[in-house]
Amino acid sequence: MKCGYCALSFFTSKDAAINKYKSLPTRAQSLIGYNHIAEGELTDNDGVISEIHNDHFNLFEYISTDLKERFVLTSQLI
Amino acid sequence: MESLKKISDLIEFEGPVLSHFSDDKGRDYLFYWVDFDSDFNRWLVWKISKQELYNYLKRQNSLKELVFANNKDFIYSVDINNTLEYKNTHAIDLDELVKAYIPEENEYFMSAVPLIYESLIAEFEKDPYLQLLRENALYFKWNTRENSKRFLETVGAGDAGNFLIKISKSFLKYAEYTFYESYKEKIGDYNKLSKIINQFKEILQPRVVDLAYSSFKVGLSSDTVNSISEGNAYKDWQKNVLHKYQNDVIDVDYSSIEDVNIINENFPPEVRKEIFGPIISIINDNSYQLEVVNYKRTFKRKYQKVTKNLEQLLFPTIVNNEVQPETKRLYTFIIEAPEGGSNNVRFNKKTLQENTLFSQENSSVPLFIKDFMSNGSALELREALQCNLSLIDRKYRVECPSLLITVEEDTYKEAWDIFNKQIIEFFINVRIETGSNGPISPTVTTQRESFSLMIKSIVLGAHYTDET
Repeated sequence: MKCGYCALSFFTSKDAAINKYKSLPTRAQSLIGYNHIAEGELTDNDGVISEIHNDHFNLFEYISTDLKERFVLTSQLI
Repeated sequence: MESLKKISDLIEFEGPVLSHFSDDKGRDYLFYWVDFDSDFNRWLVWKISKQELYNYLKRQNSLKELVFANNKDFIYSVDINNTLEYKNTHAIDLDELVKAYIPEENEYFMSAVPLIYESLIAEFEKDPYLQLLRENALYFKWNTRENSKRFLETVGAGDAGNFLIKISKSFLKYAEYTFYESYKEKIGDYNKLSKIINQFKEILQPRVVDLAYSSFKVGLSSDTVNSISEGNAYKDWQKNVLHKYQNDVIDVDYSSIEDVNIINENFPPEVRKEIFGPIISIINDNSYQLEVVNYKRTFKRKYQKVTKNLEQLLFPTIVNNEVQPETKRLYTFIIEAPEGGSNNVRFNKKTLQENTLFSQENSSVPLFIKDFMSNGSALELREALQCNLSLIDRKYRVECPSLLITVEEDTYKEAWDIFNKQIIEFFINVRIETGSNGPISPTVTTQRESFSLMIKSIVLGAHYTDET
C-alpha cells in the first residue's frame, strides 16, 4: 500500500479537483461519495506536504492540525 | 491470485481504483474496485492481453470494453481486506455481472501513461507512419439506437460502407474548397489550381487507421507525410486540414442556430450541401447515433438529430428563375423482332430493354418512307423516299434532299406534319404538271416525269378536293 493513501488529498485549483473526480469511473465516484468542494489555505505548519503532481498533492497532517475552521465549502462537486 | 505482483495503479483517488498486476509468467491482470463494506473491498479481476493494455492506456478501448473483451466468458470477483486477506473468490459469468459494477460506456484512461509502460508503448508503436496518422485521427463511433437493436450492436456492412463514403466525400470537398479559397489568388491559373487540388484529393483520401466492430468504430486520418511534387508550399495547409475540418464540420452543434449561421457565413450554399450534407445525413440516421472523439479524447462530440428548419436554413432550396430548355438528342435503336416488320412489335420500354441489339446517338437519322399523310390526304410511293431527320440547336429538321424540301420547326410533330404536307403537295403538282392521272407512261424524259413515276397512289383529302 502506498503511503499516499494515508494522506489527505488536495488540489491546487477547484477545476483540477473537479476534473480529477470526473475522470474516475462513475462507480468509483459513487463509492467515494464526495459531493462538495472545500477551499482553504495550507501552510507548512499544517503537516508534511508532498510535491505537486498534476495539480495534486498530499498532506500528511500533524496531529494538532485542524482544518475544519479554515476550509469552507464553496460549491458542489457534481 | 494472491501471488500476483502489482505493476501500477492505473486509476487512483486516495486509494487504488484500477490496478495492474502480473503473475510470474508475465500474464497481466486488472483489479477493478467495485464495492466495499466496513472490512472488505470488492474487486473484479480479469486477465488482459498486452494489446488490450496498450489500447486502454492509449485510450483506444474503454474500461467497459476491457471487461467485455470477447476472450473470456467469466470474470473473477474477490473481497480483500486491509491485511490482504482474500475471501469470496468466485468466477462470475459476464452475462450475470451486477449491473452497478459494469463501467459506463465512455470511461477511458484519462491520466498520463506511467513511465513503467514506456517499453510496452514502444513495442506497439513500431509503425511510426500508422502511429502518426492515428494521433491525428478522428474516431467516429456509430452506436445502434435503442429502437434499432434488432441486430444488437452490429452495424450492417452496407451501412458501414456508405458511412465511410459519406465521410470521405465531405472531407475531400472540404479540402478542395479550403485549398481553392487559400490559394486561388496566389496560383491564379485555374487549370493549375484544379490540377493541384486533384493531386491532393488523392493523397488526402481519409485512411482507416483503427476499427472496432461492436458499435462500429473507425479511426479516420489524413496523410500528412506524402505530398505532391511542389508540396512544401502547401505543407501547413496539408498538415492542418484535418484539424480544421474537425473545427468547422465535426465540432459543430447542428441543433444550434448560432452554429448553423456561422457555417452559412463561411461556406457558400453550393459547397455547403457537399461538405455538410453527408454529415447531416449520418447524424439523422434513424438506426445509428454518431459520436466523434479525437485520438487523445480531448475532443468529444455527440449529436442530436437536425431539425427540418435548421436543415432548410443550411441547405436552402435554390430557386432558378431561368428555365433552362431541355437538351435532346436523337438515338437510333436496332431491335430484334419476329419476322413481319415493325407492325408485330409493341414499342414499349420492355421491348427496348430486352430486344435492343444496338443503339447510337445521332445528329442526323436517315428515314426511308413510302407513305405520307396530311389533312386526310394519303400518298403512297412505289419505292421509299430517302429523308433525313436531324435535331440541331433544339430545332427539328426533316428534309428530302432529292426533292429539295426542308422543314425546320421547334417540335417534331410540327416539322413532321408540315413535311408530309409539302411532300404530298409536291407530288400533286408533279402529277398535274405531267398530266399523268392514268397509268404511268413507260417513256420518261424529264425529271418531273421521273417523280411522277414514283407515285403508286394519291388519295386527296377534302382540303384538296375543295380547292380544285
